[in-house]
Amino acid sequence: MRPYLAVIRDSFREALATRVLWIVLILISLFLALVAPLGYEKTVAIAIHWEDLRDPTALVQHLIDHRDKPDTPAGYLWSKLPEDFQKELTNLKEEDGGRGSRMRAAGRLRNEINRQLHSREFYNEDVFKSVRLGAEAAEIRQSGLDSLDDERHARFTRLVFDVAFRDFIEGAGQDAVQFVYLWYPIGDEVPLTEDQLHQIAETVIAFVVSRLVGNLGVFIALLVTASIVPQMLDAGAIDLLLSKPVSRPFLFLSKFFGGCVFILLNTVFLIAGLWLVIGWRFGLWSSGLLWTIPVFVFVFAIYYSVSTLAAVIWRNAVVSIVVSILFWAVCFIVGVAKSALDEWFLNARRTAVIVPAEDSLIVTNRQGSGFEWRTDENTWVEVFGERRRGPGGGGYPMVGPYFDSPNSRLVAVRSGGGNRWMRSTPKLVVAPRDGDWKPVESIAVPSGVRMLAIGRDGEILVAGTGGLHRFDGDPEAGDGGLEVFGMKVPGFGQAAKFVRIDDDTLEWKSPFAASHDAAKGELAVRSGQKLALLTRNVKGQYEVKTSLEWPRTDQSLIGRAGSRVVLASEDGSIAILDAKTLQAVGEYSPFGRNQPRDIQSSPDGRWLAVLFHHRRLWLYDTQADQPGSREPAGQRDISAVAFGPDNSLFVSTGFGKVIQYDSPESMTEKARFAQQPDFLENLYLWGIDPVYTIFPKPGEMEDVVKWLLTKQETAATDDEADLTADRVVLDIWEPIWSNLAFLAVMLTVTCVYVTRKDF
Amino acid sequence: MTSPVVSVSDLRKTYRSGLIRRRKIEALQGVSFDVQPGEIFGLLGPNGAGKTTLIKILLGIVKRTEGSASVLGLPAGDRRGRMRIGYLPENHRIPRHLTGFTALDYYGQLSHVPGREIRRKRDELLETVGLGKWGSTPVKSYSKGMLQRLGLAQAMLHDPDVLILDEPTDGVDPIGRADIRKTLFQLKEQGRTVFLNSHLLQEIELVADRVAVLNHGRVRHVGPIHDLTQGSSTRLIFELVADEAATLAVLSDLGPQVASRNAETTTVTVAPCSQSEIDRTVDGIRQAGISIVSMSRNRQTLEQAFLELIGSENLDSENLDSESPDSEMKSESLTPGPADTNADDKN
Repeated sequence: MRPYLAVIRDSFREALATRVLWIVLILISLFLALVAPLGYEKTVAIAIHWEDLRDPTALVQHLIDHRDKPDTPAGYLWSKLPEDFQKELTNLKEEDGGRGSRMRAAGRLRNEINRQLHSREFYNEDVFKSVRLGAEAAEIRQSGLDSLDDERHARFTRLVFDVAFRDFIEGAGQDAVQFVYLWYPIGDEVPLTEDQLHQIAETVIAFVVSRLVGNLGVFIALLVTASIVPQMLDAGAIDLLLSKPVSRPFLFLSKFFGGCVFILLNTVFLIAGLWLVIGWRFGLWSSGLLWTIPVFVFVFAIYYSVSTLAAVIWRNAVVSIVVSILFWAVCFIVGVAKSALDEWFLNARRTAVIVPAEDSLIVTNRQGSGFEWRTDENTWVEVFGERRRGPGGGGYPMVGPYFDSPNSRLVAVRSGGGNRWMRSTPKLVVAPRDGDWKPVESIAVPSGVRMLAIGRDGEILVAGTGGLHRFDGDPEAGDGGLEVFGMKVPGFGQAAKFVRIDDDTLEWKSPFAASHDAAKGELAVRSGQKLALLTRNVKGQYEVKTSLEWPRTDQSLIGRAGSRVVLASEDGSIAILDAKTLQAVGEYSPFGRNQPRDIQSSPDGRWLAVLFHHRRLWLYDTQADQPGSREPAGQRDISAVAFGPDNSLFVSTGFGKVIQYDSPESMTEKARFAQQPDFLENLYLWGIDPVYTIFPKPGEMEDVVKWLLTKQETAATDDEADLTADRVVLDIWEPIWSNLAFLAVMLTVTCVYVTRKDF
Repeated sequence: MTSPVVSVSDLRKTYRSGLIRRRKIEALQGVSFDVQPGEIFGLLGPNGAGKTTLIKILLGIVKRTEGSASVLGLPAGDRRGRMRIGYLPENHRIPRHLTGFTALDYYGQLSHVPGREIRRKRDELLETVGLGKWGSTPVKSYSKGMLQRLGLAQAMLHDPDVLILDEPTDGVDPIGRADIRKTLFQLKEQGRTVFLNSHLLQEIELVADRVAVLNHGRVRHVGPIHDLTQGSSTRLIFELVADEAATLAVLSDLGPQVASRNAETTTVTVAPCSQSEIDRTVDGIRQAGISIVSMSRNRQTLEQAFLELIGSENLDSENLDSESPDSEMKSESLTPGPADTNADDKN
């Protein structure tokens, strides 16, 4: 081993003698010095952020409507606004300005409100006397407002505001962080817990190190190391080396691994420095960050193996660099082609929701299009309306559809498009069977709706951070508006409406999840840091029957089956709770930190099915109080799950294939609904996917970095706060094995070439 | 009888180049010779004769096409053999980031010498090659002569039984050359075998016991240097007190050639002759009443002998090459280079 260790040691000497190394190390030091002063301080949530405004333009309108009522919270707030802004808002009213100008006004209004939150004079007991304060606000007031420090006082004002304007403003969480640079605060405080901050920090770090080291660092290292092998092969140098009692392949391999030293030194310096800075400033001692060091060296080794093969053939550094860049370009093109086909065409075809609708089977795909299975034609026929196309299927997030058996129609809540920042108002949509499942758009649902349920007698219920509402009216009558010559006349025919049916004792806030049990008329809710079970009273109102503190701030999904409530959290943990007491009876983490995307329960209340974003299904038997012992076929490829009225299990895999099992207990296949793959699917299955599989994937190692830092096998593409929203599945092991195989092949070929070559 | 340190028998090497129009270049065409232990053996030949190819085959850097070659009783290129060989390539390149010490450390460890052993020996070794004060200096500051000395030092570091030195005095000043000669003699005294390839024939002549002359991939001569310098090319020079006609008449049997003439004497060179012919010739001159002013044996230098041997070969081969398919071998510009050729190998 001594000769080969000498070669590797010499590579260290050579790297240290390189001026470029020192320049890069100095740049990294500067970067770390720049990042080190960035930190945060824990504080409480006070400021109203744009995301907290449920409907910004409605809030503006609300103030305008109450400007003459100074004894109401809205009128009082109006009186506190600067005169010029009042005029601006008044003109909006008179001009009935467009949405853009109202949004701009809402932006300024948010700033004005935030200013008022920090004013000790703003709170006026007479004005806000009708506001029923929550527990925290009541406690603060009891301790005496005058004795509060400014921060506590501002917090109190915010809590008052949240209740007074609950229809327009999302309730503030408890914790927040204030970012600081040296001692100076940066912007407003951000409503994040430390855990959430760490999660965001991990995502940001994954992005930054992937760019800095994975792209820029590897490229610089390739430039610097490209000459190592050609120099070794120079006449006079190679003769001297080969005259020594060393093996040619091992000599080459030692030189190759020695070449990796350059990126190793830089990566260790940057990553270890970043690890220390982030650990020190953010309290995030991420071992995953340190594990990215070998990953980046591995990525470099893949490109370097190509560079060295070119070097031993042509003995020219420039040719090595050009060949490496060509290799990168080919990998990039293949990766992008596969990813584009996956995201834009094929993943959008995956089933999102299965709806067993009596003797029909309906599915909707990720684009929001609905299809009915036609047994005689052995195919899916589109029935629910074409949605726009986009990455991951732009149709979701959509709630439902569910089958409204009494009225024989599909019911869903879906938005009309837009992006994660500016999505149009979600509306209730129904698709009657006798109308060939053609969707009919009804009125807009209250803001923050996350749950849709069909109650007894076809009652439509929606729940969200705006409370629990019942739909009153005929959804099949459209939005009820009057049309004149095809134009909607606002204000006319708003017969249909949503009526709030909770007793207002629960603070409906994010993170929010709910599940309705139609048979028992019960609603299980996770709202903020509280779990609650609501039952219907004789007046038809839902009231809190049981509640429990849930001291967590991450997102979750909730489900209900028989005597159990299941709460599946963002960190991949599943809590099984007693449905009466809400006490935990079991906790599972079947798939590490992977996020759940859907929970379904069997009508008989025996089975719970939790589907995860990385397309694996977990079943729980509430009777035996243990996880199911059998798994359906196609784990890692399951995109949707549902239970039929007969408690059979429907599972969708691939691009629209649905398999019906008689029950999760026996897992015996009962029926299969799959049409012949079309040209695009065949092209993918028999062409692109095999080519992609055998092709090296250095670019995909970025997914491994994300996984190391976040421990999650999926990454959000849309709304991170919505667990049901699409996420990209990060394939961790395929790129590792594929790249390892490629590296082994390249090194073997190079070793054989070097062994056979006369120098 | 001791077995040879280097043994080459009917060694052939054919390079092939070109992807479409394959060209065969025969660098070695049946080379055979032995090198005995403890001798300094010189390898001579013009550019393109196949000397470097031969050395590289001995070291396993290039693979033979046919024939056999062994070093220290092991097949040429065998790793165990290379453990006992020190090699100084022509125009060697020692990485510029190394110093004298770290270079010895690096190459010593490549030869499996423990670090402690290297540190123990390196000062003395650098002193021997005249770099005693330059051990800590980066080699990028070295002159060509200093690099040669350092190359020699690394070749000797692991106490090899055989040293293969390719142009060891290239770029070295006269004092340095003398030092290297001295070192070579010391190695010889220690019983080590030195295989020397140099263009400086005077250097070879001063140190080598035997030489092999290669030309066009064939051995033209193997043997002690005096065989070459005193062979058929040895001349006798007579300065006689006689006119030209009388002198030529007396020496007519020996093919005399008049070298110079003045008023009283004529200087004549005669062809190589045996001792009996010399005795007879002297008797004849005296019987003719001619006085002998001087008589000397004109011993050729190695360079003259080499030029005479190679010059006539090249003249002959040029005539032959005009009809030969491998006429590339005639000129230096068509000399095969392993870097851009594919070998037709036999491992």
